[in-house]
Amino acid sequence: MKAWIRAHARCFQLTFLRIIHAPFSYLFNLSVIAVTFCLPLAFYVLLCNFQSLIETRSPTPQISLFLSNDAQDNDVLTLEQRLQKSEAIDKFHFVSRDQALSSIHGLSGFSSLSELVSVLGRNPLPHAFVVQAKSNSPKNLEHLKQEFQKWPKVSHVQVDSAWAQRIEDALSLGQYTVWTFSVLLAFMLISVSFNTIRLQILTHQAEIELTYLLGASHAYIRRPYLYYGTFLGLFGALLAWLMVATGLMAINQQLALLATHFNFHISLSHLSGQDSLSVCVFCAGFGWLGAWISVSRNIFALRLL
Amino acid sequence: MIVINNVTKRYPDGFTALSNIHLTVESGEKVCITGHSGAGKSTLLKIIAGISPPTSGSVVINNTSLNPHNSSLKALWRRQFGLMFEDHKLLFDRSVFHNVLLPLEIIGAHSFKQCAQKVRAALDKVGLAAFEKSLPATLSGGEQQRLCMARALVHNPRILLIDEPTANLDADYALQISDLLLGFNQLGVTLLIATHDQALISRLNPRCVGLLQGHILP
Repeated sequence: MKAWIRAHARCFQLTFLRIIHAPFSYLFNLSVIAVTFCLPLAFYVLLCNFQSLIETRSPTPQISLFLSNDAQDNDVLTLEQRLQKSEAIDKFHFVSRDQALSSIHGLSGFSSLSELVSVLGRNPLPHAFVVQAKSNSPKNLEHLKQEFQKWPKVSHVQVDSAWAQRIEDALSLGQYTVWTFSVLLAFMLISVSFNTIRLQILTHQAEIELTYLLGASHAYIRRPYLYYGTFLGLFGALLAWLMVATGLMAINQQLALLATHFNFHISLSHLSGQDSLSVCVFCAGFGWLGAWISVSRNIFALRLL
Repeated sequence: MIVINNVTKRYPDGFTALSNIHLTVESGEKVCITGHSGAGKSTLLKIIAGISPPTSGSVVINNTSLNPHNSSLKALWRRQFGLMFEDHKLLFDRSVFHNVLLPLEIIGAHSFKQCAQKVRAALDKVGLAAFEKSLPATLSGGEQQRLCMARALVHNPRILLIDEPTANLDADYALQISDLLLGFNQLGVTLLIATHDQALISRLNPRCVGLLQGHILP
C-alpha cells in the first residue's frame, strides 16, 4: 500500500514538473478547453437562472375539482379530508355553489344568469375545490387530474397546464441544446487530451523506452500521462468556471442598474456547488479518457507494450 | 543460475539471429559472449533480459522461467538485472542523481530518503559522487559509462547484463570500467558481458562463449 501511494505521489510530482517545464504550452491547451467550455457552461447557467426565475415569478397553475350536483355537505367534508391527507397538494380552498354564483354576478355579461336561476328555480353551479399542487410539472398535474377524476362525487376536473407545458418544452429545448454542446465538448476534450499526450509521448520517447527496459510496468508508464490528461480537463473546467463567474459579475452589475428603473431586484447566480463539482468531474473524466486512449495507442506504436 | 534452453530467434524478415542456443551460467560467474558484429551477442542479452522474446526455447533463472506473454511478469523479470546498454540510454534532461534514481523509482520499494542513500552509494562506487547534480551531457564518455554502471547497480541486482562496456572508450577509461566490473564480480555479482574487446577479456579472465552467425562456437 505504501509503495502504491509512493508511486502515485511520484507521478503527481512528475506531472507537475512536466507542467512547470512547459507552462506556456499547457496554459494554451487549458485556454482552448476553457474558452470552448465557457459557451455551453454559460448557456447552462443562463438556463438555470431562467428556470428559477420562471418558478419564482410565474402564477401557480390551479386544478379545479367540480363536484356533481347531488353532492351533499358530508361528501364535501369527505373530499376535504382526502385533500388534506394528500401529500402532492400544497394548498386548496373550497368554493361553494353560492359563492360561485355571487362571484359570477359581479362579472359583466352574466346579467341574464339571475333570470336563468329564477327560471330553473335552483342554482345550476356546482360546488368546487381549487387546488394548488406541490409540483407544477405538467406530468404531475396530469397525474393528479386523473387521480381526482376517480374520486366519488367529482364530476369534472379542470387543469390549466398549457402554459406550464409550453415553458417545460422551452426548457427541454434549452437542456437538449446544452447536452448537444456537452457531447461536442466531450469529443473536443478527448481530442485535445489525446493530441497533447501524443506530443508528450513523442517528447519523452527515450524516457519511456528506458523505463520499459529497466522493468517499468504498463501502469507505471501510463500513470503520469493519465494524470496529465486528467489535470488538463480539471483545470480547463476550473478556468471556464472562473471565466463564467467573471462574466456573471459584470452582467449582474448592469442588470442591477437596469432593474432599479423597473423597481425590482434581479441577479444571475452561478452554478450550485453540486453542479460545479459535476462539471469538474465530467471534464477531468474526459481528459483522463483522451489521455488513456492516446497512451494506449501511441505507446503501443513504440512497439514496447 | 541462468539456463538458456535451445533458444532460437528469427526476425519477421526471416533473418535468424540465434539458432538453438544452449548455455548455462552459474551464480557469481563471469561470462563474456564474443563474436563479430551481427553474431547475435546483443540479441542473446535482450532475450535473457526479457526485452525481446525468443522465437522458440526458454530462459530459466533460479528455476523460474520467463513467461513472454505476461507483461507484468516480464516487467518484474527485467527488474532482477542490472542492464548496461551500448548506447548508454541516459536521460539528458535529468541530473546524474535522477538518472541513477530511475530503477529505484520503478521498483518503488523504498522511501525517497532510502533511495537517495542508495543512489549516493552507487555513485560513490563508480567515482561520480561529486557529479550528482551535473547533467549527463557535461560528463566525458568514460564518466557516462560509469554513470550507466551506477544505474545498473543501484538496486543491488545479482546479475549484470552488459553490452559492449568499453566501446568508444580509450584505454584508460576501459581499464577503469574493467576494474569496476571485477570488483562487483568479487562481491558475488554474475557478469554476462557481450564484447569483442580483447583487452577487456584478458583483464577480466572470464569464461568465453563465442558466437558466429547465431551459433555457439564449439
